[in-house]
Amino acid sequence: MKRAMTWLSVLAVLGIAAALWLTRPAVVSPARFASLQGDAMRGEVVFWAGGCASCHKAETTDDDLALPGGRRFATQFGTFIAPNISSDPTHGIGDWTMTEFASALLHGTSPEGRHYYPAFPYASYARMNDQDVADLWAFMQTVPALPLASQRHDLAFPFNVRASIGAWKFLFLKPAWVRPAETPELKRGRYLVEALGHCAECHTPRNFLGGSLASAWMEGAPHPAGKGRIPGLVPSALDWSADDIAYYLETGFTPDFDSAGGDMAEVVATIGRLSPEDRLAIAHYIKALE
Amino acid sequence: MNFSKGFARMVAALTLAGATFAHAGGHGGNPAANARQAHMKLYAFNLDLIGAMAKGEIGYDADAAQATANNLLTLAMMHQDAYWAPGTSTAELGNETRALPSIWEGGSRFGDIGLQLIEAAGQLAAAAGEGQDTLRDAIRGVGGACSACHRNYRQR
Repeated sequence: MKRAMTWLSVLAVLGIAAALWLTRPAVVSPARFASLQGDAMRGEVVFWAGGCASCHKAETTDDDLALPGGRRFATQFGTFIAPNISSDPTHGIGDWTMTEFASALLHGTSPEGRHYYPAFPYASYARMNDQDVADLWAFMQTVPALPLASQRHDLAFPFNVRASIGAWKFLFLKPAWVRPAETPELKRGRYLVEALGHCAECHTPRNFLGGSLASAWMEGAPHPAGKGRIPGLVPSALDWSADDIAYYLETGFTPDFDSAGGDMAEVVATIGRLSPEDRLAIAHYIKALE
Repeated sequence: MNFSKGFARMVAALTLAGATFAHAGGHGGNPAANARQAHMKLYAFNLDLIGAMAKGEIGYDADAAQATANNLLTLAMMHQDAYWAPGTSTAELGNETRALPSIWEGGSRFGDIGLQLIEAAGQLAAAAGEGQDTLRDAIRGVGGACSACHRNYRQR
């Protein structure tokens, strides 16, 4: 009996070790990005479409290129605090390599080889194409360096154990497209909605582990901070025309001329800088959701 | 907006507003919150007219666009301290208002955003008569000011 218990313990330890190995933080291979040249001008479009500033800019400023982090995001798992992504080499991401940047966006893995929490929407950014990653990296080096230390997230056990995020990724990180898109415009719209714009991160409800519920994709969700509800974007929940959606993203005005508030005001502030064609592509893709 | 000055005047204005509402047969509710919401409805009504032109849903008419933009600028410039009296946030009035207490807290940018709206409405008034595209561009500034305030100071 004692012998059997010992073997069971050994098996359990081996099992945990195997699980940790299988869910270890993934990185991109340096060769994949070695030949890519980033273009900062194109990267700026990726930056606005990706909504980086919505979370990483300072709370006290309207300057969308000041990215010292510090914003707090209360959730059922605890409070996440956006880190510094300015070009500061010590506190920001200024001394990263393009490969490290790509691993962060596409795999949610830090330069130190640790898992990022999925509050950083890499589950969506995992769908980015490599050239956009390179262009965005070129742009990120042009934003001002702000020497402000990133703060630790304030999370409760067991969510403060980063190794558990590997299991989360195994279960919920699915880089395949969610919906089909036929025309070039719908493909562009899908890329902006499902990858860069990461709309589903907020507009889809999550299960108790914080994984998006595929069965209720974009159907609207309770606000993670507790009060309020994030509206659905599928046609059964949103009857605006494509022009209405595009105009909302341009100005923040709803068809009734109420205006965007809360977190969506931040989204309009960044998506509003895209081309009219890109906003219309988003609108047409949203209208095409079944 | 200066909340520290003229508090007595504000209370007097509020009392008067309350009396007027009560006299008018009572919409009920807090008079300051009612006045704010009425003000917002006037913004929305005028924006709807001018926005429909910007979007091309109705034909562009320079005179109508100009008149409507003038209304918006007038609304933005109205002296509103009495509407925004301290003690009329969600903390005190619950569901009667969506105005968050942070409007009145230290470090509030509420007043600055009010000035931003006046500036944007001024640019709209200068642009509205110049054509549909110019109009459409200028409305974005107004929308930006609306959202800047609703981002942090309006209950979700």
